[in-house]
Amino acid sequence: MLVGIDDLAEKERIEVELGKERAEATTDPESEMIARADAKQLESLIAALPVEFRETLVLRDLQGLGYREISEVIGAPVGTVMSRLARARRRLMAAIREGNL
Amino acid sequence: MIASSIPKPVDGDSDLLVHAYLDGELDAASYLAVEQMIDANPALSETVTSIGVLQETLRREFPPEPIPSYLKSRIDAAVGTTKRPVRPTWTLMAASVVAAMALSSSSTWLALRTPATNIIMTELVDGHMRALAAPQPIDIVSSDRHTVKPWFTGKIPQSPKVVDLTGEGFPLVGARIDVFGKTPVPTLVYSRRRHLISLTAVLSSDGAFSPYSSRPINGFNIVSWNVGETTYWALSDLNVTELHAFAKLFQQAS
Repeated sequence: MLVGIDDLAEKERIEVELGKERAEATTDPESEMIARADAKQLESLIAALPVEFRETLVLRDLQGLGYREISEVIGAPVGTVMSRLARARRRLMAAIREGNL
Repeated sequence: MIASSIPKPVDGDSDLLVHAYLDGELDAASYLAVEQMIDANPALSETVTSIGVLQETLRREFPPEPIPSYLKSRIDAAVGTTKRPVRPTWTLMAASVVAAMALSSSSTWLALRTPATNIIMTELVDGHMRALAAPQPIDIVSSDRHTVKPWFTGKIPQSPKVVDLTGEGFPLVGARIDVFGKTPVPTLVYSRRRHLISLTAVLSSDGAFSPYSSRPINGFNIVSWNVGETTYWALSDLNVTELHAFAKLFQQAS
């Protein structure tokens, strides 16, 4: 797993600079749950999202479009793209959590 | 149960900005401001981690090509086209403007750092990276401070303090001239192991720059301090503990 050096604590950073092996970063249970999701599960959860959230999420996170591009594609202001994307991701994360209970 | 594991909702503005931050849609100044906001808020940084993991997972499970056919047809139905628009040449100004408006609307945490400081730090990082990318990262290569100091004479309106810290493990490597705004400023280059430290001295006659403690920007640490009318900025990919040690040694040396 790639970790940005900015994310390291000072002590860890010194260890990295001195060439020491870095222990695998431990993540919280929720992130682990999300990381374990597979394509099949994600597909069905994304499919269950309301259409305006789904299209924004797919265009951004699967197709890699920028906010401005998405705005052009769906014909909505960038501010709308931003809020839909935030809500889409929140819903998807919540759905993954619930699916794993 | 579920409710307890849901991160506390954050206020609308900052939530959108966090997504824009992770999507690389913010300009440099907004990026730094959001980063500061995240650092100051443990619940928010947890959210950032989760969203990051989600993005990573989506990228892993859905490689860019081809788009799953069921999604393609859904996009078709929803959007009318799946044709990816030609990547435009214009920048994402709109998102930046939205971000700037949101930033100025929630000014409580924005006050933590002045925009002027952001610009300075961005310029410092730029100068340092430009120098490292160039075939010759320094204009004059010398470990002798009696060579480096006179080199500045006639090139810039000030004569920077140059100290020898070889004995302390920070040998002088050389110097260069950076341009800050429209002002040429002296930058000394020291080294520590294989790390280079850019030390820039800026005359701050208006006293606008307050001493700034260290924080990482793109992996670079910055430490600054004031001596009279001069503000020193030390920037390096070195860890902050040793960078602080360097700053202290430089200040103590006469």
